[in-house]
Amino acid sequence: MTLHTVNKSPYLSQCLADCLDRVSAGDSIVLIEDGVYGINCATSETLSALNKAIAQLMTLGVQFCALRPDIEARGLQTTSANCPFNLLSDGDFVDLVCEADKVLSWY
Amino acid sequence: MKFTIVILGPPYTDQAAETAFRFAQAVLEKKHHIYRLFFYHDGVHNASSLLSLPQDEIQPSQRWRQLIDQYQLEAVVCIASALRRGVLNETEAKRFAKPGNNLMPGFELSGLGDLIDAAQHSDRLITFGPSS
Amino acid sequence: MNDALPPSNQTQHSSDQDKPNTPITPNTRRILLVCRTAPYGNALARESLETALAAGAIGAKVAMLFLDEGVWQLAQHQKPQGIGRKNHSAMLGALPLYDIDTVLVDRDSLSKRCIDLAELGDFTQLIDSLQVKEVIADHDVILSF
Repeated sequence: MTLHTVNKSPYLSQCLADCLDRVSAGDSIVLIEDGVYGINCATSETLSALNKAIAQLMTLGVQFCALRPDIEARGLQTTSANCPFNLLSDGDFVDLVCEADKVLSWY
Repeated sequence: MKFTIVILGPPYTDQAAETAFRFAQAVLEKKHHIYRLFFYHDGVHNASSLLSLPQDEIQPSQRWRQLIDQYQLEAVVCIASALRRGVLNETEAKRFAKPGNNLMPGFELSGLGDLIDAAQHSDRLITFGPSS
Repeated sequence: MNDALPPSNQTQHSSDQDKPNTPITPNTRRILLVCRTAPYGNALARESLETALAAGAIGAKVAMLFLDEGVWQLAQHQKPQGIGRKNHSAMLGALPLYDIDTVLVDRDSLSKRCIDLAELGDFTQLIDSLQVKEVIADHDVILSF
């Protein structure tokens, strides 16, 4: 299992889209830094293509996560309805890296 | 588990080194080991002892040094990247006849072979790329 | 054998016995360098190549994968004299001399950018999007630039 990190806002950068194109079944994705602006993609018209890709990858067992300190720092409000992402502490992030075989950083 | 953390982002300008620092702390709190910290690209600026932020802000190189000292970590700064960006130890400053040196104690200048070695010998390697 | 410089008159070493003695232990982890940055605008592209050449110089096995903006590195006819930079394609041409014989290029990234396939150097190998996923899954450790 590969863990992918993404640190750019999907409103600015292709980073998340490029990552989603290369994810395999069972991989994990962690949004970090400005990457966390992607957590509300379910409610964004602009990001509807990404949202579709994410929904499809979830059916393949891809796990979507985001770093909670980065979300809180940016004042993003999340509810389970608009956010398909698991929120991680720094310690949870380390645990997930241990569970993965390797990390691929998209930046 | 043995981790190597690769830091590519500069201090202050960019969040990457801050994220890397928090990750390193979390790794150590979980009782894992850090095989090596490797500072490359603009990440080499984190090793500058001349960083001078206002007193109420985090002093990045000072804080790395404390972590390095506390856990006896190996912190390698890519020598080729560092020289090009003006991060020099005493030996290199003399060699290039520069008026001063600024490598923070605790960090060492070394080659890219150390990055490859870390990739070969760590259980996990994670890169924190520039956020801007 | 000299472990710092590439052999001058050979471009291929297929057998591991040909590798110089190095501090790297045998049975090593396979390293993938993922190159996603265009040259010149940023030093990352150059620093990814320097990482590859450093690996080659100590006899470590690495593969390179050019993806997304990274495929601009492979464009022919680069003439960076006017912008005061070293020629990136000349550095790329040194890869086979350092025994880096797995240089993979994502076909989709090329076609999205209208880069002519005929422009690629013969040391590269085109792969499709499914193979990109396989390459990522197959390696033990990834450095991305």
